[in-house]
Amino acid sequence: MSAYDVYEMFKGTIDTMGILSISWQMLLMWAIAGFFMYLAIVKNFEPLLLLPIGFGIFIVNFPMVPLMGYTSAGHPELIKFFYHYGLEWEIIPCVIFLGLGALTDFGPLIANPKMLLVGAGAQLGVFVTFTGCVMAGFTLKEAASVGIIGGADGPTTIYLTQKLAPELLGANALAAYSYMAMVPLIQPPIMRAMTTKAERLIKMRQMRAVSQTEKIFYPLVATVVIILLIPAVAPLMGMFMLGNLFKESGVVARLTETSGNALMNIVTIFLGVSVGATMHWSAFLSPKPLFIFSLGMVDFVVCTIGGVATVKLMNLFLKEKINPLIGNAGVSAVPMAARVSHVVGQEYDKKNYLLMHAMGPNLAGVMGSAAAAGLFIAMFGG
Amino acid sequence: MKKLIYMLVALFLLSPMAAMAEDFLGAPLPPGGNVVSKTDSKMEVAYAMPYADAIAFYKEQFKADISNFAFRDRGDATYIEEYSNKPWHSVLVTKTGEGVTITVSKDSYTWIAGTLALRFFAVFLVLVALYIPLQILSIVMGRIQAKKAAAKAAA
Repeated sequence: MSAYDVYEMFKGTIDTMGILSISWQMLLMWAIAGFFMYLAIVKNFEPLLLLPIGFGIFIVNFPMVPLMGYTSAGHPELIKFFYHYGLEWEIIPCVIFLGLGALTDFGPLIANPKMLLVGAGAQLGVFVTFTGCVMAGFTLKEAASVGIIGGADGPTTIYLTQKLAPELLGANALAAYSYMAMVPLIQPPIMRAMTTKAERLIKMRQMRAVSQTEKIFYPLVATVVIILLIPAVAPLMGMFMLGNLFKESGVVARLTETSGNALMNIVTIFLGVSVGATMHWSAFLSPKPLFIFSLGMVDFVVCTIGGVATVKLMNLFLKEKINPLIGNAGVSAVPMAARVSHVVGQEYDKKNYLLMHAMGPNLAGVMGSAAAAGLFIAMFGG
Repeated sequence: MKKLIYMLVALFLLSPMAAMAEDFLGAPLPPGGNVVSKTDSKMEVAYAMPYADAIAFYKEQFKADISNFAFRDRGDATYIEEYSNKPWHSVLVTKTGEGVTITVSKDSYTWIAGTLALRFFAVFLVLVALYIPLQILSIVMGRIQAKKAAAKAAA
């Protein structure tokens, strides 16, 4: 064996290793992935999603990894497989909505349906951000997918982005979940700034009890109304209401349990890793994702303002006033935003329990953001 | 084979049109029309060509980036909307007695702001539509519960 043969042998071996192909961009993406894993593990910020997303970003930013491409036989590689069948086929967000439905109690919303208006008002930021994005040079489809971040609903954001601007999926999902996790930091200063002390002390009447029959009828009525008006949102809303019907019917405990736990947990793993894996440095290291992150913040702020302002507007016409501190919950982010309403309310009156009152706008926010997404899909054809 | 021949013939027929196409604000226009009206933001051109040919012309023109265009069939007209950031917003192809009229409109923030305001209002509309039956249900159930409570108290 000649020295040349030995050299070729070594070179052939080294060429199959990734270490020589590593770039500074990959190292930067490792740092970004590390930051999100830190938020999940240390700060406990949306760990169920930020941890798999962070790991997805990390693992896809290695040289020569067979994860997001196609094999020589034309089959999708591991994470590409999850991404293709889960997200490109739009399955995972709908399955997550099924699980969310199975975990949701619409009682507070049925008892106080006025709160639906708060959920609509809190979508203000979605439309404001849309305009901002268009002015910044985004296409209308991209602008819609960035705008929906303010709706603070992860599956809806992912569903709409996948339909309208799949190239922004990673950045949008990450912005949505990051800001959802930061709701307790973002919202309280806005809520305090927009309300007077007297308003913060408003005590709301205890809600009436909601019968099981009403809870069974609710998903059916909501399905009829929403899908008749916005058929484009049927995949999301249909699954959401089916999950809720499972729960409220009380006759399919096994299906309810599976939808809300095992099934949702399984798809959450695939969702997180696939979304993270879309963030290869070549797609992510550009001004657009940074812009999306900054606009996402504006979006959340304006949505919170929209929710609180809607309650204040409603109070002008209502005999029984609503505490405007629950307006923030209209941004969705269930149940974190409702908890924020409660915690801020308790700062001013320890005996003021706003949590259940805030769950109404919180659930209305889920439907409001889905309605906004449906309108965008109807507008741009998906 | 037949399909291929038809496609080749169609391509052959369409290609000179595409090659000679004119434009307004970057929106393609078939050649040979008579300008009916023209302002900075709108241009209307009349053609003595079949409606189907005009639609086929635009489908051919936009086929490379078709996902950024919506073709809305309105019976006697087709409204083509553009969703990327082009200087023009829409092309309206309308059937007339003799042929077609093509109207190209400039993109504007008025359209964006208007359509967004309308959609924000639509979110309210959807949730109000849900609110009405729920509110009725809430009132009825509230009364039933109050009656039950009163009967219980009386007993």
